[in-house]
Amino acid sequence: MRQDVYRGCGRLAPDGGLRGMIPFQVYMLRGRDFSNAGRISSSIKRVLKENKFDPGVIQRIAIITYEAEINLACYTYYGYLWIYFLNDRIKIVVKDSGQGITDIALAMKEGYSTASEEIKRLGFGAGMGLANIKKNSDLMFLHSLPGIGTTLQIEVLLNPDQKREPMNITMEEVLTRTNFTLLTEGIDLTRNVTGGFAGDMLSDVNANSREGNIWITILAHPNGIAVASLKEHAGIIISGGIKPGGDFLERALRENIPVLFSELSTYEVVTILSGLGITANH
Amino acid sequence: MKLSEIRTLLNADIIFGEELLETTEVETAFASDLLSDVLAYSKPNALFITGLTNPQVIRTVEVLDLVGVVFVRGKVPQLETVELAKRRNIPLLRTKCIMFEACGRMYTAGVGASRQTVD
Repeated sequence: MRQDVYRGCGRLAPDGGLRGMIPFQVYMLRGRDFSNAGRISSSIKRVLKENKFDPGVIQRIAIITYEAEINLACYTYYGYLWIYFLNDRIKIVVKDSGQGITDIALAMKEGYSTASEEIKRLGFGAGMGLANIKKNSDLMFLHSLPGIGTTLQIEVLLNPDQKREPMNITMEEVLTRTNFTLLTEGIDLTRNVTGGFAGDMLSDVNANSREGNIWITILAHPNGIAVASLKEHAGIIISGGIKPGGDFLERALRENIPVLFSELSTYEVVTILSGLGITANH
Repeated sequence: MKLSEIRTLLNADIIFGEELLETTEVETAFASDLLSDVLAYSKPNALFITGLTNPQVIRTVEVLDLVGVVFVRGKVPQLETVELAKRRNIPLLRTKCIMFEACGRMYTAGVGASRQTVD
């Protein structure tokens, strides 16, 4: 076994429990190395078995890490895999230095593949990898810079029946439980909030925010409303005491996007929202 | 059904695991030449029937807790594949039957599908 291919650090408590520490392991993965692909997932599987995780969870993690390894072997030069053992979930982060993914939505599609003949001869490259990973994870986040690399974040909940609770909070409650000012009277505030997103760069908001998010920004430009509308945000909070102009509010009313205002900084607004149980998208 | 009976049924050679044939019980099987599909659809404890010969076959068996591999169409697994199977104690058989014939004989003898349809 080549020592440089695989390296682990951090470990589980001796009794197999996870109490009182934040155990994690990190592995180095080699790209363009088909004969060793799968070694790390098999050693992760062994660790999980020794620590008596639920067999269903073990298998999902094994499939996820194995597909990730295959992807790395196919498309990258090298990468790292972190596995974190949290109280209620296992989190996996895979970062690679590879060709990156230009169109993530397309790459996620079952059956879409850019695999070479060599990969296909191995029995992979039929465009199932990412779809398989998604199917086996409770939460998946993929971020890629073409030419630089890809980061994949996965979470698997330890209790298979436990799903993320809906946040159960509406814009109306956000308004009544905070001292933010509503600038768009008459707009429907009953929509449900799915999480929060803070940022002042439209392309970032466009790429990473989600439907139902509250967007916190100091950007009071009418184009922001277009993005909020496109992404179907639950609402916008303009922070930092920036006063939006008439054209901004007019557009918000037209596009039906609630706009709240606060003198507080973005950081403080986020803290308040987090106190209401509104979390990030992961 | 025992793996030794499947060996007779398919007139298969033993590549590795002679002593495992009597102890390995086969109730279901999954046949495919696409490993991603096996990963996506197979349930644990199935026997894997394939024409692929590379070491990733064994990795897949390991990930999914499958019970063994039957190489069809007379394919001979790569040396690396056999080495890995030995280390993991996974029995390997090789038959000259094509995949359809191997599946048909096993199905008739009572080995069911690992899963019948995909959703």
